[in-house]
Formats: sequence, structure tokens, C-alpha cells
Amino acid sequence: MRKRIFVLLTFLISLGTLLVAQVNIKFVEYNLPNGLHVILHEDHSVPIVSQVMAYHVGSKNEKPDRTGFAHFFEHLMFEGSPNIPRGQFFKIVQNAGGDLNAFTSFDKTVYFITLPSNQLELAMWMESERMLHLKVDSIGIETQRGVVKEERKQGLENRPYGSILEQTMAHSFKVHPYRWTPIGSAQYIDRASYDEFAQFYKSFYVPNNACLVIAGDIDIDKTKELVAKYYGDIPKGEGEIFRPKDVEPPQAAEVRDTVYDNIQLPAVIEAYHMPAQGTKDYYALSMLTTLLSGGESSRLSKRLVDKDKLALVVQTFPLDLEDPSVFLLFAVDNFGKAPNEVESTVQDEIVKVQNSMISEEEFSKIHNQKETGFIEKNATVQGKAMELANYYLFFGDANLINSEINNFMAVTREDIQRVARQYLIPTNRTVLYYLPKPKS
Amino acid sequence: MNLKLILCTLSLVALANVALGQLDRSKMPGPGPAPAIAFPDYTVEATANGIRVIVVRNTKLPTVSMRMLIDRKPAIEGEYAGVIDLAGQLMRSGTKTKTKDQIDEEVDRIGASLGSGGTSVYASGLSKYTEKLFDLMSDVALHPSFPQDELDKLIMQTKSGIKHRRMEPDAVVGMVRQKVLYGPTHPYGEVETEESIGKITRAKCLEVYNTYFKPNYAILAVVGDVDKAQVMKLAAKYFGKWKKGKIPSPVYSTPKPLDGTMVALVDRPSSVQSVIRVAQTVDLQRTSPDVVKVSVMNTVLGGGVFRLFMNLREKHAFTYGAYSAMGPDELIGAFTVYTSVRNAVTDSAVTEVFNEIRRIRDEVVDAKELQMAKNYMSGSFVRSLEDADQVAGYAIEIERYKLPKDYYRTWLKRVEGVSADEVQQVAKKYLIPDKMLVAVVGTAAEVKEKLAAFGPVKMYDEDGNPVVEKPVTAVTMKAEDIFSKFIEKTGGKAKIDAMKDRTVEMSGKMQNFTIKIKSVQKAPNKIYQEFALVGMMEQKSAYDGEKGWATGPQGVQDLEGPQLESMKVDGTMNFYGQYKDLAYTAEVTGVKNVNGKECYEVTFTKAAGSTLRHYFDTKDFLKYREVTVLTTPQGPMEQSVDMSDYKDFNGYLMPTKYSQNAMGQSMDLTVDKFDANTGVDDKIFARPSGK
Repeated sequence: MRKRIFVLLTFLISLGTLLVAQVNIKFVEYNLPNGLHVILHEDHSVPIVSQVMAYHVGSKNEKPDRTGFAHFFEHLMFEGSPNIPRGQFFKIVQNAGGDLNAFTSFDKTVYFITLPSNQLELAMWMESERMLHLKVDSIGIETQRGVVKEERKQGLENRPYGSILEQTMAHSFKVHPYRWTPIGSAQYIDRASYDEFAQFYKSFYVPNNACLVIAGDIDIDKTKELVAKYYGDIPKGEGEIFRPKDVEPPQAAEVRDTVYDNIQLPAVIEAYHMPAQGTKDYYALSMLTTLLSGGESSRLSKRLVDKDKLALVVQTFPLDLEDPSVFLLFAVDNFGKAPNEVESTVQDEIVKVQNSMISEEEFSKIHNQKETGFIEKNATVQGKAMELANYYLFFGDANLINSEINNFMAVTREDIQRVARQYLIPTNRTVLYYLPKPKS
Repeated sequence: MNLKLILCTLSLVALANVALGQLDRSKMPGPGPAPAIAFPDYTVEATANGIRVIVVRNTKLPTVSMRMLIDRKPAIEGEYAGVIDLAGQLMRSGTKTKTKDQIDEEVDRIGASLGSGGTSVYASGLSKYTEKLFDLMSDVALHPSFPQDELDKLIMQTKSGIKHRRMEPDAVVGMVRQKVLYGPTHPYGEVETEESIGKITRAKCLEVYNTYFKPNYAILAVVGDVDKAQVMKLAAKYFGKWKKGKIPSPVYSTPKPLDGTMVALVDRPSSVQSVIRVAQTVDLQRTSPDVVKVSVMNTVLGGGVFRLFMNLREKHAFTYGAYSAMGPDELIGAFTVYTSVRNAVTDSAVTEVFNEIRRIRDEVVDAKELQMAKNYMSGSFVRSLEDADQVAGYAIEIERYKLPKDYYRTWLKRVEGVSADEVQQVAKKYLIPDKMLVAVVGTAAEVKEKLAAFGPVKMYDEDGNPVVEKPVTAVTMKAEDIFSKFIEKTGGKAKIDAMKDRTVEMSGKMQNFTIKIKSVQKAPNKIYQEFALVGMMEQKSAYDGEKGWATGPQGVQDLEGPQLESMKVDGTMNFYGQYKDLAYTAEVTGVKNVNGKECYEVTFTKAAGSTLRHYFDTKDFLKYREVTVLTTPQGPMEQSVDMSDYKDFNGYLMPTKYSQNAMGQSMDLTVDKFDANTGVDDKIFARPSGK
């Protein structure tokens, strides 16, 4: 009998996890004949509309001697078309009361415009213009070459700890193009030529390599008509779209290095190889990061920041990427505290997770934390549009915007212990110490 | 560059290949009928004890966020600068019935967040936990216990943060701007320092709390999936017993504009960009009818991708971005231009900033550009309404500054009413290009000279304080004169020449370890040192006048390279009489600030090998710092030792405190023992046998 009660109890618990507070985000999706995937979502709470165009191309599609190329190209996408003169792209959107921007990551390049909802057609005209026939000239290329180099300096070279991602990826990857970061190197930004841009545009900026999301104060039927009008005639890409096939071989031994930076407080970075986003172990590792550093009661925050006062801050997070990537840990030392002491204390906490299973109570805590985080992601129409595009492009299922939480909730306590044992081992990691560089 | 590129402009895809259908793409689509913009409804109602409760209902997500703040005037904190923020942060770290651990656990258990800051408390989470959040928030707001251990931790963290701040060019330029524009006696010019933070006590935190936490000054804004009746009930239940009181009103002097445009420069030698702010104070109250005009004017000048962005980025490629901000304030407002540019164009960028400031004063803005600014502002405003927390922010502003109730409901109408002439009027009235501060953090060697074109250049340090810097040419003291003075002060030449040997013992702490150091020297140049991390390791090293050695995990090893060099320097009984024997030359290279003391910087160089810098106070001629620059595979590496607290030991004046900084570690040492002329045996310097 007791066994049956137990079974009943677990049933109730799993039912409980299914009953997480959910917001059902409704949307329609379809493909245009040219392969463009379209997702539409209605939300009339404020008279605005967000359009997101996400291309499945990022820094991992670059050649090793053209790092930073995809991001540089993103800048050129604001240059214009036969119908939009140079320097007008920003101004037109601004004049219509809109806001626009774009970003480039390892896997994708995403363009977004948010406008008052009566300007929806303008957003479509502009985005389709640059997908159909982007126009750039030498002045534009040279200007953006300069701007991109300043962006690199501002974000990376002139900022304390700014090079962490670049250093971590360069040390963790030997084969896969994740070994360089989207900002790339100034040396290769200098070499990028017009012909290469033309080729890149022709290969990757095609409707069958993109996902269009329109969300906000829209009418679905009318929007469908406009989508067909502006995007329907854009020709499908002909060539095969290059996707890197490189597989990073398993790391054989720990990688360890020191980086000198303009900082006062040393920092410790650890990067453990882990599977791609969307895999079962990815979800388990993601739950593990919440256990380790989600909230002030999390294990690493409690131990390193509160109890031992070794660190000012400690964070862990999986780098959400399409190909296998890394589980990152970042800790900034308190003044006068040694990086090796921070490292050994972190290690002590990792070993605890590996050696003993977490309690039901702690497990339920990280469930609740994940649930809140998942719900809070969808506060704005632009946020929802981004999520929909991402889930479609990289998971092939836009409805994960509603259901991905279940994948997190399906992780068991045993899974968390198992992935801690399997992935968080010294041979699988890179350890970097950031130390203060002397003034010269 | 590729010539083809310069000569022609090409479409990336030839037009001929594209079937365009019926769509005439050359025509930009116009807008549809303008949608009605409804400013979200909210309520304001006071509790019996005077808390003004604002409720913004938004049921899109099952979440709630709330914040409580004390509506008070900015305070002057003086020697305790930073105490209000620190006391505020500490509230979250313990209450009469809960430890920080317990609070953290309760917050995370419901996946929520809870925080506190300078006279404010905030919380957010799922709306099903609204009552629990009220419970936690009221406990922190009404029953904080200010635990001593948490205060100690917070002080340590804040001090670490201040050290880190010195490396952040944006933070440094912000401090310079604050200090120069407002001055040290204005609340906006006050910056917390390690010293001011170090003075904060638990009693001081309690005093802050008791002074400010009064319900009749509190505003509570609750946003999300909640209704007013529920919120008012919870507010009464959890904050009802809170007793009213009176907060004193501080008095301030108004900062005066600068006498003329000046440059405040912070030397950050490794910088690849100059971080620039061009700023002035602006006397503009929130209730002034000029506010909306100023807002339109600032948008044209430096909002979004308007003039500054278009000029500095899209025309000149000086920067990744350039913007300006200008706003009213209850004490005194400010105008600030923000940009970061590469070193070589620092002065050109500042020139362009001033060109744009003059242009908006001198020329009437074009009607199309003005309309674009209004459209942009209108769009931004509408987008901001999507965020219920922002709506609460507008409501709080109306409450705090006693603005008309419909201030934001009518905002867009007032924006639309601003004329081109009014834009120019407010530009002329408020922007004073010949009385602006140009604050720059960058590589002084590359930018300083050119910046003099804008006004007198004054140097500031990384804490935003003026640097006393005398050009080398103004220093009449020669290195040898400084050495003579130093020798005279520390015992006199005769006494120092007569010293045959000396033994110094020091101890200190590094993390949890005790350090003990013993150093034995014998004239002219022999030295023996013991370094112990008690219970962990011990190292001995020496130089016998010819060879150097050190013990290590692999046994005894001969010293060479920089290590041997540094033993030779340390071995000299009187370095200032012997440096020439070691092939160094000495030169006065400037006057620098060392821990608040104005010091001569003497640099010792050698054809090959390390560089040394010693710092002597310009008044008492004692030495307060030694820096050794070593050459390592990672580039030059600096080790710095500060010495202080000189005391007399049988006629020799010796520092009794040493503080060493290297590799991000600091080590403080105290001298326990000093002996001279005890007859040291040469044996101690000899290399032990074995490997």
C-alpha cells in the first residue's frame, strides 16, 4: 500500500509542476513560398507593433581570417537601398516615432523595429527593402569600419573585464568557430572587402534563412496581406546555406591561464564544455546554475559572498548556443582575496553537488525561481517577438514560448547530480585568472 | 582600399534579377489613422498613517512589483558620505525576527526578489505571492536590525567597489563631472570614499533610519496583477502600525556656473579611447514651462540618432555613439553630452560637440527636423507606456514634485505645441558653451596638449580630486639634494655611514595567514631574508656581495635576472650612496600624489634591467613609496611598496608600517624589531650546500 501512496504522491507532485502559472501566448505561423517563416502575435494593450527579422547567421558562419564579419555586415544593413538613401534608415524610423536596432551573436543576427501600430506598413517596407536589395557604398563601408572598431574599443578594450568572453572562448575552443566572438578582431575588420560583403549577403540574407515575427496591436488577416505584399516577391536563396560542421573534440586536459587587465579586483572564470541548447542535459545544467547562483540564497552566493566574504559577486550560466558550448562561472574577488582561494571554495561547492543529492525543498525552490524567470521574460511585445523568432529558428518550435518551462520542470534531482558529475570535472574545463595589470 | 569600391556604388543584388510585381517600392508607405493613446489608469490613495499608495493594474502577466520610497530632499552627508545608501542596503540584511539567511531563503523559495537601497525598499514576484511580498517588504522597512556583521561585510564590499570604480573610465569621468560642477559641499558633488565608508557605524545607520523612515513621507507603488482594494487592505495590514513623524529639511547653496570653459583631464595611460563628457549645470525646475521645450531641444541635439550621433558617428566615425541629456531637478539640473572616441580624434570630437551646441543656439531648427524630434518623442513615450513600472514612475514623479495630475496625460499635446523659435530660445537661455566643463578620461600623453584649445586643462585623479602636479621643469630640487635631505632626516650621514649591519623583523596578515619577515643586512651590500607564511611555507634568500640564492621546493637555487637584480638593490646599506655602483642613474621626474602627500618622484634607470621609482615628501623629505618595474613575459609588471609611520630607533628614523600591492594582493606589515650594529656573522649570507 505504501508504494501506491508513493506513486500517487509523485503523480500529484508532477501534476503540481505542470500547473505552473502559465501565460498562453497565442500566435499564427506559416511559410511564404520563398521560404520565409512568418509568425504573427496579437496584443492590443498598447498601440505599438514590433517587427523582428532574425537571420540564421552569426559569427560561427565566418571564416577564421574574417572574424567580426557578420557583425560588421549588420552595421551595413542600415545603409539603405535603391529607395532609401544612405543615412536615412535611422531617420525614417525615428520620424515615424519608432525605435530600431540589431545585434549579432554567435548563431544569429537579429533586426528589430518597434513603431506606433499605424506605421506597421513602414516597418515592413524598410525591412523588406534591405532583404531584397541592400545598397552600400565605399563611404558607408569605411564609416562603419571605423564605427565597429570604436564599438570594440568601448565594449572590450577600454572596459575592465571586457575581454572575458573573448578570452574564455579562445581558450575553450580549438576547432569550432565559437573560438572567436561576434565582435571579432580589428585586424580582420580592416581586411573585409566589398566583394566579400556581396557574397555574404547573397548566401545568408535570403528569406529561406530567416524568421519574421510581427507582434503587437495588429489585425492578423490584414497583416498577412501586407506580409505577402512586401516579402512575397523576394527571391529564395539558391545556394546551399553554409553551416559549420566542425565538432569540437572532447577536451583532454584542463586549460589554465592568466590574463592581465586594467582592473583592481582579480576575477576567476571557469568554462566547462556542455551540450547544445535544447538537449536534456542542457536543461539539467541550467537548473544547476540556478541552484549555484540564482538568488541570494543560492549555494555559491551564500558561501562566497555572504559566509566566506571571498567574492563581491559570483555568477554561473550556460551559454545558450546552437552547437555545444560552455557552462560559465564568473567570480570577482573581494579586495585582498586571492583567486586560488575563490577557486578552491567554488570547487568545494561543486563537489558537494556531485556527492550528495539536493533536498526536495531546495529543488522546489529552484523550480519556483525558474517559473518566475520564465514568465517575466514576456513582458513586452518586442520581448515576445524575439522569443518566438529564437524558438522557431533554433528549436523548430515557436510554441516553446509557452511550453519550454516543462522541459526545465522535467529535470529530476538525479539529473542535476548526474550532470554535475559528468560535466563539472577539471579535465573538461578552462580556468582563467584575471589579474591587475601594472600601469606602464 | 579597392579602387572599384571608391569609384562606384553598387546594389548588392542587381535589380534586373528581381521580379517586383505590382508593388511600387519607390514610395514610402504613409501612416494609417493615428491610434488613440490612452495613458493607463492608476489610483493614488493615502493610508490612515499617510502613505501615498499608487496602484497600476496590469493583468498581462501574473506578476506584481512594488517599491516604497521616502519622498525627501537630497541630504549632505559630509564625512559619512555614502551612509544613506549603505544604511538602505543594510535593511535587507536582517530584521528583528529574521537573519539575512532566513530572508534570502524565504525570498528565493517563492522565486521572488527583494531589495533595499537609500531610503527605499522594493520587491517583485508572481502575483499569487502578493501578500507574502508585503509581509517581507514591511518586515525589512519597519523592523530592520542592522546587524553588525552584515554592516562589516557591506563596508568591505563597498570599499572593494570603490577600488574597482577607479578602473572604470565611465565611473571616473562621472565623478569628475559631479565634483567639478557641484563642488564638495553640495549633495550632488559628494562622493563616497573608502575613508567615509570606513567611518560608518551601526549607530549611524540607525540614525539614518530613524531620521527618514516616516509613513507620511512614504510613497508605495504597486504594479501588476492586483487590484486597488486588495492593495489598500494589505497596506493597512502590513504598514498600518507605522508611526508618523517629521523629517528635517536641509538647506543648500546653489552651485555657480563655471567661470569659463575648462578641461578636467584624468590620465589613464592604457586607454585606447577617451571617455568624454561636456557638461554644465542648468537652473530648471520641474514645474517650469520651459521643461517641455528643453526636452524637444535636447532631442534635436542629442536624442536618439539626432545631431550628435549623426555628426560624430555617421559622418566622422569617431565613436560608437554620442548623446546628450538635459533635465530639470528640484535642486539644480544638468546638461551633459556623452561619448567615447579614439585617442587621436579626442580634440576633433570635442570641437564637433561644441559646433553642434553652437548650431542649436545660433540657427532656428528646420521644420522637418523639429517634427521628426516630436514624432520620436511621441513614439518613445507611447512605447514606455507598455512598461507598467514606467507608468508607476510617472505617477511617482507627479506625486513627489506636485505636478498637475494630468501632467503626463497632456505631455504629448505640449510636445506638439513647441515651436522652432522656442527651441532656439531655450538653447540660448540655458546652454552656455563658454562656461562648460569638458571632462576627459584618457591617455594624457596623447590628448592633453590638444585639449588646451578649449580652456585651461586641470588634472584630476581617479577619485575625481585635483592632482597637484608640477612640471619637471618647475622642480628645482636635484635628485642628490633630495637624497641628502632624506639621509639627514633619517639619522644623518655620519650615523648612516657608521652602520655596519642592521636587522629588521616584521609581521602581518594575508588572508588568514600570518606572515613573518626577517631581513639582515651587512655593509656594504650583503643581505639575508627569511619569509614565512606561518604553518605553510618558509623561504630563505640571500646575496653575499657576489652571488644570490634562494630556497624553494626544488632545493637551493641560484638567483639570476630580475630577482638577483632586486637582491642587489635591497642589499645596499645606503642605496642613495651606492646606486651609482649598481650602474643606475637618478633623475627627478615629477611631483606626484602618494596617499594624499605631495611627493617628488625620483626615477632610477639602468641601461638593461629594471626601473625603480622612489617617492619623497616635498615637505618632510621622508620616503613614502617605492615602485619596481620588472620586465616579464606578459609585459612590464609593477610592484609597489608604501611605507609610513616613521619612528625613532636609537637615532635612526625608520618606517614601522609597510603595505605591499602586487598581483591584486595587498599585504600590510608592521615592524616588530629593529637592531643595528649587533655584529652579524658573514656565515648567514653563504649559500647552503646541496642543490
